[in-house]
Parts: sequence; C-alpha cells; structure tokens
Amino acid sequence: MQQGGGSETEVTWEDQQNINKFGRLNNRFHELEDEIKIAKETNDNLEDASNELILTDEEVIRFQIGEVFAHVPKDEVENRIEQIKEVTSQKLEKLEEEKESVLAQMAELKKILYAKFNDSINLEED
Amino acid sequence: MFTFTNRIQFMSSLHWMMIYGLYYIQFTVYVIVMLCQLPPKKVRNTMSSSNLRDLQRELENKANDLSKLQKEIAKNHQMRKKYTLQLGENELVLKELDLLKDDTNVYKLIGPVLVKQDLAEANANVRKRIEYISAELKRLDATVQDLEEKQNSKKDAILKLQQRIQSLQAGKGKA
Repeated sequence: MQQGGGSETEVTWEDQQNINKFGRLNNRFHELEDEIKIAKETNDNLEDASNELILTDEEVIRFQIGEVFAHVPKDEVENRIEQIKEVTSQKLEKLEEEKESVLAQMAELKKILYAKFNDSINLEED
Repeated sequence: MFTFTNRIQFMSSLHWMMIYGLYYIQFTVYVIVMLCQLPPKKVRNTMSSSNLRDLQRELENKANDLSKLQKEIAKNHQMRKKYTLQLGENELVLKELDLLKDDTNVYKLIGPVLVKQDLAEANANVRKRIEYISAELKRLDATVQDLEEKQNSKKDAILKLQQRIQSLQAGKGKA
C-alpha cells in the first residue's frame, strides 16, 4: 500500500481482506491474459493448418500426436482439426468470460478501497 | 588650552566624527530596515523546510521516472535476447537448407500438421525472416542506447538534487 500525503486511515480486517482479494484477482487476471493469448495463437495455427490442408494434394498427412508424427488420412486430419478448433474456441470463450468477471470484481473492490483510502492506496499498475 | 592650529585640528576631527557618525547611523538604519524586511527566523525555517519538501517530492518523481526507464531497458534487453536466439536458429536453418538438393522434400509445421513446402519457398521465407529479425535487432539497439542516455541524464539530475537537499539539510542543521 502506498502512503499518500493524506491523513492516517485505520485499516480494518475487512479492508485487509479486500486488499488481499484484489491482489489475488489481479494475479488471476494476468494468468488469464496469458492463457487467452496462447488459446488465440492455437486457434490461429489450427485455422492455418486447415487452410493448408485444403491446398495440399497429399492424401496421407503427417499429423502430430503428442511427441510423434503419424501418417493419417487427410479426411481424418480435417475432422480432428475441426474438433480441436471447437474445443479451443469453447475454452477461449470461457476464459474471456472469466476475465470479464475478474475485471468487474476488481472494479468493485477499487471503488470500495478508493472510497475509504483515497490517495493513501494505489491500485493502479505501472 | 588649545593653540589655534590645535583648535582647527580638533574642530576638523569633530566634523569628521559627526559625518562618520551620520553615516554610521544611516548604515545602522539601513541594516535594521533590511533585517525587518527579512521574515522572522521561524518563518525562514518553515520556508526552507517547504523548499526541502518540494525538492524531496521532485526527487521522488525523478526516482520513479528512473525506475520506469530501467524497467523499459530490462524489457528491451529481454526482447533483444529473444530476437538474438531466433536469429541464431534461423541462420542454422538456412545453413541446413543450403546443403539440400533441389528435389529434397521439405516440410513445415503448421499447428499439428506437417505440410510439404517447396525448397525455394522455404529458403526465401527463412531469408526474409532473418532480414526482419536483423532489422528489429538494430531498432532495439538504437532504442536501448537512447534509453540508456536518458537514464544517465536522469541519474545526474537525481545526484544534483540529492546534493542540493544535503546542503539544505546541512544549512538547517547549523541554524
């Protein structure tokens, strides 16, 4: 908590809980941002892969399963990619929803804490 | 009894004493007026302490700016490290591609799929990527240099401010 020029305000147990909660939410927010970024990249890669499959002439495709590449028929690869894309899109949607929820909670806590501590507390990021 | 000459000397010395006396009185009055124009000692102390506070606030702001600059520099160094690694990898790939024959199969990993790619196209892509990374590295170097210059000037300014604060505090201590 940053010490401002204002008068001393007593920090109650409830205030401390709110500050801790804000900290946890902020950490989660950053985690979500990273996860969303990864999910978007995965989605883009899958989109590129399905586009490449349309253009390719090969009937057997080298498809990555875990650490190895297996020879898989083109149709099956297309189906698999569509399934993975669906799962990733759903995951991305959930992450976006959670991010919105976290932001809303943080805004609410900011309102409460700034109302009490004014400039004696800093909840902004550099 | 005074002789005539002694009397003249006495009179002239008396005359000069009077003139000097007047000057002395004038000087004293001037000094008193000057002292009256100065704020009382207590007020002067509060003035110097408010000066000190302002300087400390300025120092704090400058220190914050410096820490921001340092964060920016660290971020740029991180980026530079990443690009240097990528450049090394791409140069290695280019070396390998140069060793291949024209009819060799080359594959590119897109998502979970290995897609066949033309050797010439792969070569061109890698070269373009190397050009781009090299340009980015140059840009980053220039940015880092600029930021470091700013950092040095900020450090100098902070040092001067600290010296001013110390001299003010020393003056306050004497008072």
